[in-house]
Amino acid sequence: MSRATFYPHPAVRATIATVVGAFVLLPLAATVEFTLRDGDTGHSFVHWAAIFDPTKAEAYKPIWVGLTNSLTLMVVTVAVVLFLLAPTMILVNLKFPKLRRLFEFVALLPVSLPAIVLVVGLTPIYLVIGRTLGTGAWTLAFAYGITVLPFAYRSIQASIDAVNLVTLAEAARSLGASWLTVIRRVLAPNLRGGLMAASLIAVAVVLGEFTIASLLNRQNLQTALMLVNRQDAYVSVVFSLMALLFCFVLLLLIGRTGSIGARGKDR
Amino acid sequence: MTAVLHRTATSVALDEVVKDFGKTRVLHELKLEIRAGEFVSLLGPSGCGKTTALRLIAGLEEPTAGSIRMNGDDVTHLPTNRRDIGMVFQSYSLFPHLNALDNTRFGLDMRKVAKDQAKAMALESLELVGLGGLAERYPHELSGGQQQRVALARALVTSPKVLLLDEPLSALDARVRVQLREEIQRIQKELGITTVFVTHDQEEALAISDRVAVMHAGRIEQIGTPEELYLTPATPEVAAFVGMSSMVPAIVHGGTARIWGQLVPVVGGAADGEYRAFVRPENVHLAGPGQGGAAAIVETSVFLGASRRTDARLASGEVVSLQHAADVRLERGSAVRLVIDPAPVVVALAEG
Amino acid sequence: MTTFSARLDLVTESVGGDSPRPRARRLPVAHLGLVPFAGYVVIFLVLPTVLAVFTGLFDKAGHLTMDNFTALGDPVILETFWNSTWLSALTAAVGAVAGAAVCYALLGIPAQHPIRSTVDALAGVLAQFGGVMLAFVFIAAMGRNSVLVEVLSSLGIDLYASSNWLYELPGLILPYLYFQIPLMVITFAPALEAIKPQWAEANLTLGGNRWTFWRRIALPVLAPSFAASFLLLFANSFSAYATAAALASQGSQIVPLQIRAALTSETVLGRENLAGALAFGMIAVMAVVMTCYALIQRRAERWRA
Repeated sequence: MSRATFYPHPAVRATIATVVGAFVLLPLAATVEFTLRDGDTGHSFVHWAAIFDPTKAEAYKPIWVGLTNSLTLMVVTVAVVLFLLAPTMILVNLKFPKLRRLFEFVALLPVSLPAIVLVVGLTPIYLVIGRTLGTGAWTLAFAYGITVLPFAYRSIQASIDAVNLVTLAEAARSLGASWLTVIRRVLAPNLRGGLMAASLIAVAVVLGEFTIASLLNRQNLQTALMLVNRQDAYVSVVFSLMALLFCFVLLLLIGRTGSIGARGKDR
Repeated sequence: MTAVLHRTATSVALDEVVKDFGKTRVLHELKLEIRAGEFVSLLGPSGCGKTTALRLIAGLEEPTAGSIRMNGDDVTHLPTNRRDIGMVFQSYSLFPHLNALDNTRFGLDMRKVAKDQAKAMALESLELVGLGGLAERYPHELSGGQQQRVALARALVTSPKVLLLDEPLSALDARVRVQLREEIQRIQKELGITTVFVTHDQEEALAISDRVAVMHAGRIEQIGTPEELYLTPATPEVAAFVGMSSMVPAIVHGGTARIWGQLVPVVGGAADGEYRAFVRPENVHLAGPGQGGAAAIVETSVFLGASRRTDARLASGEVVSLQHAADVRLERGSAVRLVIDPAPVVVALAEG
Repeated sequence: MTTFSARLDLVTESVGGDSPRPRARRLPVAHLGLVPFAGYVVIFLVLPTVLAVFTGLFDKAGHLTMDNFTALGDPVILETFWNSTWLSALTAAVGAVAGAAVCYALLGIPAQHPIRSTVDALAGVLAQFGGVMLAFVFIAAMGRNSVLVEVLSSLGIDLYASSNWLYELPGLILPYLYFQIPLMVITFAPALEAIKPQWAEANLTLGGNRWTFWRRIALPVLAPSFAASFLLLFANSFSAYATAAALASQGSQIVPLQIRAALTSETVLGRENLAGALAFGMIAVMAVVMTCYALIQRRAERWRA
């Protein structure tokens, strides 16, 4: 290895890893321990098994309702990302390049507008939605699409840049393809990575969302967990661990397929 | 500054240097002697080991075996920051948060030179590279060529023993490249500093060096003046890399090659047999009346401004390049006859 | 020449219909394509923001009033803003330093290495999707019934002797750090990766060493990115709601919780639409912080290229 390296000494790496690692992993370990408690002294999987216990089904019903709602919300939110955001981004990149900066500003705006603030303004809007589209939880997906916007935008835009979308489209057009063909056979296959990443992130965000659902009085997984937590301290923790693990695996998948960021450009 | 540099001009020697990266051997018992004040280029294709050799001189890598000497002193295990060298990298080496002046004086600050003196010396160095008025500019406000000039000023201001340049012009536009390489040559002659220059551009190496070492697969194929390399390449690798050449069939007998019915001396001699000879375009001509020559069909003819280069295919299948007057126009498909000058050629065994 | 243009005509004819169409007819169609998204953004982003900002100016009856904004001067509310500020500053500072240390420890490990992918994924989960679940983790890990408290009490230390602090303001510090540190790792890593090995090598050839490299080159270059990331962490902490809501089910010590109180009860301190004024206050803080962030970030990127 070159002598000029400025990388940290292995001992330094190990120390930092241990200290921060302990801070991160110990609470998780303690949480797992918590869920494995049986009575005052024993340990068993009784709380994990209780999820499927039919006698407790009534008490846990809110969780299943919340989970179902969250799943529906995931589908609708992903639909918003794939069928509203992505086509618009392709359109802007191809036909309205001058609007790109404005688009980027708008897409990144939700970073500065926290959910708690947005909810204040969403309350009257959702009153209207409640009267027209009903008070089902699925309508939250419209708000979620906005929350997810910065993440989804970054993933898809990185994909567009890495693939040089404009050039591909121009090449396809010069070879005689219609716009539909261009999108279907040239653009979509090349954007798959970014679209996939955006969708998976949307799934993770929806799964963990609490603020908007709670303050707009609708039930999703997180509000359900809060509700059930008051009676049964264990089941919410079990579900939380599962949800965290699920999101972790999702992000690992995204990272492995290399779809986040435009690393290809740096070569 | 000039007087000081003459005193510190240093000789550099690599002695049987071996470098392995893991299981791959990148340099094989390299032996290189550079005289004080000399400008030597290391020339070769990607992967030949030239940059590695330079980095070994700099101390940025350690040799697996062998030694490196400066002025006779063994510096093999001396860390980079104590070798008193100046180095210019291909790109990205300027510190982005410092302007040209502060970048240039960095080495002086490391040597604890007094602030005012450092500033004056840095300005002088920037003047030397032609950037006197741009001292306040930051790297992102400078063009590629200007950035490399600052890098050069920075490397030179400490009056180092050796100046090392790692493909400093490769990332620049063609026009800037030519301009800057002449500046580097001028400055080097003025300061008399021992210089090692790495490049893959043979025209560049031939234009500015005292001697050129052509490298291939971790070895030095040949080291000599530009003229020596061009006119008497020692090996096929050198002949192929330095200058343009075409390969034509030749039969060697008694140390002389027979090409197209003519006798041509062979560089370094060769045993009797069938070979391919490396022939330069300026040594191939269209046959005059009554001269005989080899039959060929013209394939392409390119106008180069001052001359023309025509590629013609021999009956035996090889394509030969010849350089001739610009006003002689040859049509594609026309038949010509070619003769060759009796300049010495390098031969390689005919393959297959 | 003529054969070539004839062949070209054949090609354009077979492609069909594209060339002779007048330009004017194509533009409106493309513009129409922007309408769905524009409409969506207006309804669900612009409109709520406008409403959030301006409802503070109206009372329940719809009349213009400054009552809600003067309510912001109430000592309780002011204390809430102060709490949010110091909590955010503290967790941002500690999070920034710890996160930067982690980035430093990861230097040189390639992106596809299992250690790197695991850390990236873990940081992503904890930074962005935790919320309520993190609250549960900390209650389980540090609450009255946790293993930690048992271990400490066996050593004679009663963690909750003075108060039930986990459910009060100080109890937010550790859970917030739990997502601040990962957020720093995500945000700051690109800056560290942008340090060029050529700088380190140039430093050596110029006579410097490890110390001079960090002190005179790397740290000054990293400073803007570090500051920008700190600001981002501050903004993130200031606007966090879910964790606090889960831990402090009654209290309203920080601004987001005050907004909750204002939204869920009809009258707070006797003034309606206080939530709007609070939201306005929050946006004002966020706007200042994010503008500074954007400005510093632009400077940092100039050096990165």
